[in-house]
Amino acid sequence: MKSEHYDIVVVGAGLAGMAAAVIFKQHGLNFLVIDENPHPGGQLIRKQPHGEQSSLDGYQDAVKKSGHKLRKEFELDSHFLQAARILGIFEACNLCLEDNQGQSRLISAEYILLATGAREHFMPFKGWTLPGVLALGAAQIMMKSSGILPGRKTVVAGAGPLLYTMAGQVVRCGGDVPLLLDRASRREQAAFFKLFPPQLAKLPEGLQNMLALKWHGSRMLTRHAVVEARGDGQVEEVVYARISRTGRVIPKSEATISADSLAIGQGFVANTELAASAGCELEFNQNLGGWIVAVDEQLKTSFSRIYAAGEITGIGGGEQSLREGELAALAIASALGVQIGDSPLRIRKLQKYRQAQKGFNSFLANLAEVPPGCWDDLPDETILCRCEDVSFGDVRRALTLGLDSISLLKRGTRISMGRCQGRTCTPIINALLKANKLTATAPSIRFPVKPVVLSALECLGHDQ
Amino acid sequence: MSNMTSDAVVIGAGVIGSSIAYQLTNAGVKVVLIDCKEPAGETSGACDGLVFCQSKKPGIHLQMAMESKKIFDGLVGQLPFDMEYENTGGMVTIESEAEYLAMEKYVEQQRAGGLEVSLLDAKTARQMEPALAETIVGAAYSPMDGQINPLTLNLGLAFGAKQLGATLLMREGVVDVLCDNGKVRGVRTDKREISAPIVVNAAGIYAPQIAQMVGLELPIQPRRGQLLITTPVPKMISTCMISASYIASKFDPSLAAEAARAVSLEQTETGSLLLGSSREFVGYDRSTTVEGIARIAENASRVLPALKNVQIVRAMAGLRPYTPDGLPILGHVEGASGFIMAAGHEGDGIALCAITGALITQLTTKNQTEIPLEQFNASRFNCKQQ
Amino acid sequence: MEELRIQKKRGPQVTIHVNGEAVTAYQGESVHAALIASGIRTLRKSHHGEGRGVLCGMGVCYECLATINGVPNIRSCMTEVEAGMEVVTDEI
Repeated sequence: MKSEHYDIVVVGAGLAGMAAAVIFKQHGLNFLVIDENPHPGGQLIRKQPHGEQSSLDGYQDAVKKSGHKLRKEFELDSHFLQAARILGIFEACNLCLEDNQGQSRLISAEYILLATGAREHFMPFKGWTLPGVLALGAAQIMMKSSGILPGRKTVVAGAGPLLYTMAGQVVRCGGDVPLLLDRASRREQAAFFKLFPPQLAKLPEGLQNMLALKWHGSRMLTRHAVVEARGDGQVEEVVYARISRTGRVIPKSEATISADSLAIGQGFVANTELAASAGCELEFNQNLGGWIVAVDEQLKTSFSRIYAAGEITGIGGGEQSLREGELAALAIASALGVQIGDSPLRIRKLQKYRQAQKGFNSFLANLAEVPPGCWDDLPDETILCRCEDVSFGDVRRALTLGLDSISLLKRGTRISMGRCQGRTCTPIINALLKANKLTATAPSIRFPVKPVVLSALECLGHDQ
Repeated sequence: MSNMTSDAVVIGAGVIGSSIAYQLTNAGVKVVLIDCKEPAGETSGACDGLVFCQSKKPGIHLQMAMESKKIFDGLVGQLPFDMEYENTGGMVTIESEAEYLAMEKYVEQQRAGGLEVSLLDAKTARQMEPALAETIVGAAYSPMDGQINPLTLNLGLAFGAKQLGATLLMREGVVDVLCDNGKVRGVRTDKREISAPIVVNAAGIYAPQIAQMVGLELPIQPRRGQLLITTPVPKMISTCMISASYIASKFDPSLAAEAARAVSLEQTETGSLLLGSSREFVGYDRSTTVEGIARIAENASRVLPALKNVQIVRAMAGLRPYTPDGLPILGHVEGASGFIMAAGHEGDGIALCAITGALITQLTTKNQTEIPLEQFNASRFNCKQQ
Repeated sequence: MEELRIQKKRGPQVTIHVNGEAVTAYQGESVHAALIASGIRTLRKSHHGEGRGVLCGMGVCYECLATINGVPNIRSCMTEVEAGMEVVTDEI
């Protein structure tokens, strides 16, 4: 079997990955982009189910316009391998790939660019496992990629700007959002206006969403949160309440609304698993959204042949991903000895942008953080680990016995040992540990970074 | 940090040290259990849960395993975590005529040693376990084998000891064993001094480093075992299984090459299957390898073809404390009175932890043991005493 | 629940089979979205036997698993519908 070698393997075909790929392509480099989704674009830029002009995608700012242009360019590009996955990275730059036919093989590269993006973070509540409770992003992707609303009546709850983006999209698509619950206070939201002028470009989309929701008649409540989702087999009603500054439910403020869909999200966490499996150092930075991949100013990780760009270096949104993709590509090209016009100048400019972006990063991180009191009102029967059905009560009991770290809780209660490999519950447990003044440790991950069918692993032995 | 005084310090909160600490505490001894990591943070946190009697050498080794099983039966419901102990029965799967002949002799010896075990033909084996491949020639079956969750067992013992009054020090390393005139008087850690007349070395793969603190050289070496874990699936097997080639390679060095085909299989309470395991000398390297993973996948699906469509959720590697003769090192050592060895169980640590804890407790409190420890003495390796 | 589909203009219509029953979908839709549009929200069963449906919608949480064309544990959010596709829910 021929050995498959590339100058660069890019993992993730979102904005960062595509922005890097376009540079590699222009300069004739031998590269491969790998992504799990059937189409390039990542979570933000989604292929519309029919036709390109569509109200599904909301306000078209410069980032989305560039993103859609890139997506179209790469839709059938041979450098892009869609519906495939990297299962692990061994010995610096050898990658184990599972292709779109379910076959595994080993490939190698001079450089790897990790652009694995972010996923949503949640603050659990009783009943959040009921079908019909779904992520803000899941609801958005349903609308953007499939042209289907998440429900007839969608309650939107959590924190961060995505609440409004997603709710705005539902009403623009003809759906109903009777209620939007934001954990953050008005004052915390207003911190956004201190970030002008650099973040001015984000204002029109925000205004458009607010206006659409007002026009539709959606109730928007700040410092409110879901207490419970109820229903027989699926969501039928949502119990919500006012919450105090410390995160406690304010007595007698509870109310109930009927809904068949509840979209939730509490900010984002970086997808650091593949980087961690390669042995790249992670760092904890509250202002950048928690655990992220540690990079230098050229976006190089602790391994000199692995770079990281986009959300995995700090939660910051689409524009940051585009710019970091470009920055990493220029740095890798220069490490490969490829001269690109005014690249040193361009690199400095992009580095300055990264610095200027820090205020927005910490604004997002601040909105996503939950005060310690949030845990006090959570009933024991609330599920924390959805894969293994571990309840908050199980974890609370283990904490009382003295299991004071993620690794001990894992061994004692099975949290994070299921199919999602802790992607959903580990950030939740880390927040809980923090509320209990215990140390959060870097999320560990083992090969394969996502489950893979056994027969795909058997054939690996024959490649050697 | 403040200094401490206790009756005994147990170094290593793996399954061996935790079992010793639990049983000592139960016997009224004031114990400090100390680990530079966490309970189940090393070998006991990266292994399978087989409590197999069939895989033990006929003789004292087998006797230990059978006694251990009895103690497990009595531990059910006693620990703060459910150790998920199940007396599932165990199968040794036979894949060739040559193996079948070898197993006939082996089963005879096991029977003579008091183990309830029988040899099944292919048809009977497949009636018991319909998921077995048609290529299976037969199997040895013992109703005395079983399986356990090593993680909750280990945590149950360590935190159970703590509940009974032991002191559990986690993330604190022992930097020296303190001796006066050939007599142990405690340990120094990276945070404090702990005075105690008894120091138990249950540090597993790190036991040689601890033994060196009293001038004892041990031939324990880390031996890597890789494992695969599947996502939960409906019941595929009801017994736990190991390959006959595993036993052959363990007791007959001329069959060592056979070990490459050996596999162990168990399905846990949640439906996940554990597929193991490789045996490699690679120092302290805990990484999983593509070759190792591929080999386990091949071996496992050769025995249970239905595994081909099952998803693997993770691979892991643990370092087992190997000794040259496959038996652990237990008991007093010469030249350091009060220093007790309890390490080197390699892949038998889970199965033998209960009896090891009982024997070390007897040794400490009564200075005599129900099973003589002479065969397990460190001196059998002619260890240098410096 | 046809009204959950946002636009009238859609990709070519296809028929998929969910637990043996014919369900109408349109090319380009993901399996879980097509199921939600036809009123099916429960895809798998938890250890304790509770129904679960899609959470993350982006291939992370493994809550939307179904048996698709005979292959178990497929993430329905990452899979697009195809004519004649066989989907079985509640497998585990």
